[in-house]
Amino acid sequence: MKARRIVLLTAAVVLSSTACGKGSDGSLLPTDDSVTAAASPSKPPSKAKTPPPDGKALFAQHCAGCHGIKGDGKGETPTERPPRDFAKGGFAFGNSREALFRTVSKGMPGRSDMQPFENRLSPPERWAVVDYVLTLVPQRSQDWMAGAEMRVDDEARCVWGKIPSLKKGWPEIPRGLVVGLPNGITLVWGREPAYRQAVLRGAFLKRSDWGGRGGQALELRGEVILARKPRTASPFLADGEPLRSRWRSASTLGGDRAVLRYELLDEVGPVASVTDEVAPDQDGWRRTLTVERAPKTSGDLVFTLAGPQDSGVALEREALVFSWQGRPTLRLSVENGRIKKRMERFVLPVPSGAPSRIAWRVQRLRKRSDRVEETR
Amino acid sequence: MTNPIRWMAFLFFATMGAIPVTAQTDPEAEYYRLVEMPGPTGEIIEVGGLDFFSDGRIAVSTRRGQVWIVEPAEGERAASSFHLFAEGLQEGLGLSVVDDVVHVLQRGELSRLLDRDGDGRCDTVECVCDDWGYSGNYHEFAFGLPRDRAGNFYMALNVAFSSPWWHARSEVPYRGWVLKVTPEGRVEPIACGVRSPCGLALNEEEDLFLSDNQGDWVPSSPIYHIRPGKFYGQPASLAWRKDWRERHPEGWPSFTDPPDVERAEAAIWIPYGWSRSTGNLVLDRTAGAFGPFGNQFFVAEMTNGKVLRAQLEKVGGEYQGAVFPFRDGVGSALRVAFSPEGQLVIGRTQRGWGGQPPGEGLARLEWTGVVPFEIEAVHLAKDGFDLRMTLPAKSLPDVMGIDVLEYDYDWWWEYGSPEKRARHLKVASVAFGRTRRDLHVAIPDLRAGKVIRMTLPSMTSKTGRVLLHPVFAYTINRTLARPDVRVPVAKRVPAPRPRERNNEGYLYLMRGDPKPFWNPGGPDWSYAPVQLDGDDRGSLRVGEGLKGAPAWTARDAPSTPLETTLHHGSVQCWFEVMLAEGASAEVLFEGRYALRLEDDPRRFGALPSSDGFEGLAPDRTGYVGAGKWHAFSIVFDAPRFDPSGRKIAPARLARVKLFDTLLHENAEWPGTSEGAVMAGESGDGPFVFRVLKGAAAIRGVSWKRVSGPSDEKSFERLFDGLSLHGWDVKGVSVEKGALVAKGADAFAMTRDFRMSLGEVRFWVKWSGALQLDVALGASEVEHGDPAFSLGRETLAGRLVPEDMWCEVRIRRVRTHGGWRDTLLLNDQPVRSVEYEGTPPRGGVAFRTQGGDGQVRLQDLRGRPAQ
Repeated sequence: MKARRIVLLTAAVVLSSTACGKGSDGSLLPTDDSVTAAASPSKPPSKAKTPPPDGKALFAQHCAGCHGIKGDGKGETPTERPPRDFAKGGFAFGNSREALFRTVSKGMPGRSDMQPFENRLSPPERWAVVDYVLTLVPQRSQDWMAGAEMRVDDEARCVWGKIPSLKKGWPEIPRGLVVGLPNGITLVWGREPAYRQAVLRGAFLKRSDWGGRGGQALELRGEVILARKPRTASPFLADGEPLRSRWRSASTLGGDRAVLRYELLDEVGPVASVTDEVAPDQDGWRRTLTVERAPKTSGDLVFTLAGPQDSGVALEREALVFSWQGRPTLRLSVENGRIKKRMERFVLPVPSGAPSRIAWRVQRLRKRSDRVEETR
Repeated sequence: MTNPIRWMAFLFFATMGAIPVTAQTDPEAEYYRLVEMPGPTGEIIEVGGLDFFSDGRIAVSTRRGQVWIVEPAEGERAASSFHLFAEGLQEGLGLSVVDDVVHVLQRGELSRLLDRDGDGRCDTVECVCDDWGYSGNYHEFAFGLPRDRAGNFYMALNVAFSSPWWHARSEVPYRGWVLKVTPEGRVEPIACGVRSPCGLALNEEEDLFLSDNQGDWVPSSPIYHIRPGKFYGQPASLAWRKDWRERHPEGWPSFTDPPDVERAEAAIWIPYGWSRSTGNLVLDRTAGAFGPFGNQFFVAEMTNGKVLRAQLEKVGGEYQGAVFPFRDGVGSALRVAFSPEGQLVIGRTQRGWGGQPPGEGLARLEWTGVVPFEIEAVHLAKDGFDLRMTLPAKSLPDVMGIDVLEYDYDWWWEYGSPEKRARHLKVASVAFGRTRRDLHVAIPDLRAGKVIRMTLPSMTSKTGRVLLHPVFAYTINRTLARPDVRVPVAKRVPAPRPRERNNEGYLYLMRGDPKPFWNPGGPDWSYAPVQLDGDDRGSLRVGEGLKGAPAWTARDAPSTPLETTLHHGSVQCWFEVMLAEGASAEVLFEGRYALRLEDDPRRFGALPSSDGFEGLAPDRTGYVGAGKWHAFSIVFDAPRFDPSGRKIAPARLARVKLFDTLLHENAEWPGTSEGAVMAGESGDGPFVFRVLKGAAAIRGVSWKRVSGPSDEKSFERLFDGLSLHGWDVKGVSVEKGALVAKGADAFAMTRDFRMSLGEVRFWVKWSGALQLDVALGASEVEHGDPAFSLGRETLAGRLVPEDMWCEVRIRRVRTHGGWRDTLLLNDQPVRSVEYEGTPPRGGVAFRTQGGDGQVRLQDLRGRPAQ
C-alpha cells in the first residue's frame, strides 16, 4: 500500500495532536446516527368556558423572576446564562405561537435554565403566557422581507446559501455554509474544496436570497476579518496533490458550537474524514479538526499547516493572534495596508488507527471594541 | 367628504383582496371546499415542498429555506399548529418524508434533516447527495421530490436564465435534466430537454411524469412521461448528453436553431389559458376519499391560481390524454399533495414568479361528498371521443352546440407558441353509449399531432346538476387508426428572427408630443403630469410643476372621448389610469367595447352592462385607490367574422392584468357597449378613453398588434445576412447579419430585385439623429424619391424608441389614377400617401441623411405584385 501524505493548508499555524493539545473535549463528535422524529407540537387550546387566564399576571408570577417584568432578561434570579431580551425578538425554539407554547411547556432541558411549565400551568394558562410574551416581542410586519434578518443568540446557527463576493473581484460561491457563533464570530465555508473561506465579526446575516425571483447571495452583516482567496488550491494535499472534498453533514448539537463533517478524496476514493468543529472563544474562536483516516489506507499520514503565501490568506482590518496551548504563536497584523506576518510550517504525523486532532484558538491582538457588535 | 360605507367596502376588499370576488357564488365550492390553514401571524410561508409524517402531520419546506411541521386541525378555517423545525436552508423546492425523517431538496444538496436531541428542532443536516452542478444563476432551481418503492428519489434541475432571459442555458452538468438519486446518494441522469421542471410524480405503475413550464422551445406547459434516454425538446441540456457532445466536441446547443435530436412528445399539452406556470402534479390514490377521479393526476397551477386535473391513457403503448379545469380561486398553487385522509393540501408560492393571490401559505381542498357532474374521463375512439361522465346525463347535448377546436404549436426558441393552425372540426353525431354516463362524440376528421379542445354545451345530469366544467383538452400524439405513427404536436418550424429586447413589437403612443396619434374630442383634455388634488380628493391637479410622465387628463365629466388616430384590432396593450375619488371612466377598445374603471374595487375593471348584457365584474380586485396609477396589461381579441360578414367570435378580453392580479380571462362582450363611439361591430377601431364622472387620467398607452398568419413564404430574400452581393452600396457594411450604415450619405440599392407595385419588409433599428429614407422603384440611388423616412425625428421615431428593432412594411398598391404607399410599423398601419401617375419601376433603395448615428437593417424581403 502506498504511503499517503496529506497536507493541510490553512491560515492558522498552530497545531496540536490529541496527545498534547487541549483541543476539543470530544463530546461534540457524532455519537450515534439514530434518528429521532420531530416531537409533536402541542395542540392549541380548545375554547374555554371559564374566563381566560391573565397572561400578564401569570408572566409576573412565573416568568419575571428570570426574564424580568419587562421581558428584557434582567430578572432577579441568577441564571447560568442571561435569558433573552424579548424586545430583540427571536427565540431559540421557534417564534411561532405554537413553538413558544412548546418551549413554555417543555422548557429547554440541557440547554438553559428554562424550566418546563407543563406541570405547573394548565394549557390555557400557558397559551395566555405565550400570547402575553408575543406582545413583548417586536411586532412583525407583513413586509416581504420580514424575518429576513437572522440573529445568533445562545446557539450556533448554520445557514446554507450563496456566499457573496467578499472582496472586489472575488467570485461568489454558489454553495456555501455560514456558521454563526454566539459571540459574533461568523465563519464561512465553501463546499469544494471544503475549507474555511472567511471569518467575519459582527452581526450575523440577512436572508434575502429568496427575494425577487430567488437565488441571490446571502447578505453577510459582519466585517471580514480574515479571508482566504477563492479558487486557490485545496488546502488538503496528499502526496503533493490537492484533495477533493465531499460534504457530509453540519450539526449544531453542541449548543454554542457547530460541527461540520466532510470527506477528503483523491482519485482513488476517500482518504480521510474530517470533523471540523468551531466554537466561540472569548472574542475569538477555537477550531478543532479531527482527522480520521479512511479504512484500508495505511502508511504514514502527515498533515502540514502552511503559510498564507500558499493558501492565499487575506487579513482584513484586525490584528489577530493565533495561539496553541495558551502561548501566542503567530501574529497577523495590518500595517500600511499590508499584512505583516510570520509564517511557519508544521508537520503532524498521524498514527495509524486513531483519529488525530489539530486545534487552535484565534484571539484579537488588541481590542478594538468599536468594531465589535456584541450579540449578547 | 369620503363616503364611509364605500370606504369600508374598500377596506374590506383591500384586506380580503386574496379572496376572489366571485367566491360567494363559486359553484365549485359545493363539491370541493377550500379550507385555509393559516400559519403563524407575520410568517410568510412560501411553500416549495410538501409531504406527510405517518401520523398525518405535514412537513412543509419553503423558498425561504425553512421547514415547518404542521399539525392540521379540523374545521372550516383550520387553526393548524405550525412549528418551525428547521431554517437557514438554501431553498426547499422538494420535500419527502422517509420513515418519518424529513428529506429536503435544497438548491445545492439533497439533505436529511435530523433532530438528534429530540427537542423538536433540526440540529443535524446530512448530505444525501450534492452531485450536480450549480453555477449560482438565480434560476437554477432544484425541484422534486417523489420517491419510488425501491427508495430512489426523483428530481429535476432548472436551466439557467441570464441575458437575454428568453434563452435558457445549461452551463453546468445536468441543468435541464431529470435525475434519479439512489438511496445511497448516487446520481443517475435519466432524461434531458426540460426547462423549468417544477413538478415530478409517479403513477401507480411507477412511471415518472413531469410538469414543465412554457418558455423557449416549450410552446405551452406540458406533462411529460419521462423515459430513460429521451430528449424532451429544450436544447440547452444536450450539452451533457454523451452522443450530442461527441458530435459537437467544442460547441454548445444553439439558442435559436432546432437541434438535430429526436424529440419525445408530451403526453399532455395544457392550454396556455389554463396554465402558464405549472406547479407539481400528484396522483389521486385516495380510493374515493377525494371523489370520483381516482388514479388521475391533480396539477397545481400558480399564475391563474387553479388546480387542474389530468387523465392519461395508452395509445400505441404510450401515454397521452386529457386535461380538465378542476378548481379555481385557490391562490398561487405550486404544490399539491394528498393527505392520508384524502384531502388535497395546496402549498402556495407567488413572489417574483407572478402568481395569483393568496401567494403563500397552506390550504386544502376537501371533497364535500357531493359528486359533481363532470367529464370524468375521455378516451380516444376510432372516430372521435368516448366521454365518461360522473353522473348519468339527462339528455344528449345538441351536436351543433359542441365546439371542437383543433390546434398545434410551433417548436421554436421564442417564449411559448400561440395555438397554431387552429380550426374548428365538425361533430358528426353524439350518442349515449352503454349507459347514460357514456357519451360518444363522433368527429370524423381527428388527426395525430394535434390538441383537441372540446367544449360541450350546457348539460344537466339526471339529478339536475349542471355540468361543472364542460371543457377538456386532449393531446393526440397517436390515433387508434395508426397507433404506430407518432406525430408531435409541437411542430418544427423555421426559426423566427432573434429578438434582442423584451418589449420589441410595441408601439408607444405617448412619447413626447402626442398630437399625431391622439384626437381629444374637445378642449377639456390636457396633456401634462397629473396628481390627486390634496385639498379636494375628488379632483386632479394638472401642471408643469408636477413630477411624472405626462398624461391625458379630463377634469370635468362627462368628458369628450379621447381617441387614438391609429386603429387597432387584436392587441396586447399596456396603459396606466388614475382616478380622483368618486370618479368613473372607461376605456373603449375599438371605440366600442368598454372596460369600466371606477373608484370602487368591485367596479374597477368591470365590463359594464348594456342592452342584453348584464355586465361582468372583475374576478378579483386589484384596485389600490384614488390618486394612484394603475398599470394594466391587457390582451384584447377583436371580434371575428366569416366571409359573409357574420360574426363568428365576439370581442373579448383574453386577459386583463392589473399589476400582478388577473382581473379577467376570456371575458366576452356579446355586442358593443353603451356609448360606443364607433358604429356596428368590426375588426378594428380607435382606442378611446372617456371620463364619465369626476376626473381621471391615462398615460403610457402602448400596444403590440397580435399578428395574423404569416405570409412570409411568398417574399424573396433581398439580403442573405452575409454579403452585399446583388446590391449597389456606399458607406454600408455587414455586421452580425445586418446591413449597417453609420453617418449620413450612406446608401444601398438592390441591383437585381426590381419592383413597381408590391411590398418590402425589413427589420430596422436606429440610433442617434440619423434619418433613413426608403425608396421603392428607385432607378438611381441619388434620385429615388423616398416613400417614407425612418429615424428618431420622424413619425416612426415617435412610436418606436431608438435602439429597438422594429418591423417595417411598405406596401405600394395601384389606385384609380395613381398609387398609394402605406407604412406599417410592427404590423400597424401608420400612414398612407396617395400619388398620381404611374408608379416607377426599379430597385429598393435606402439612403441616410441628417446627423450622427447609425441604422441597422435585417431580414430584408421583397415581393413584387403579380
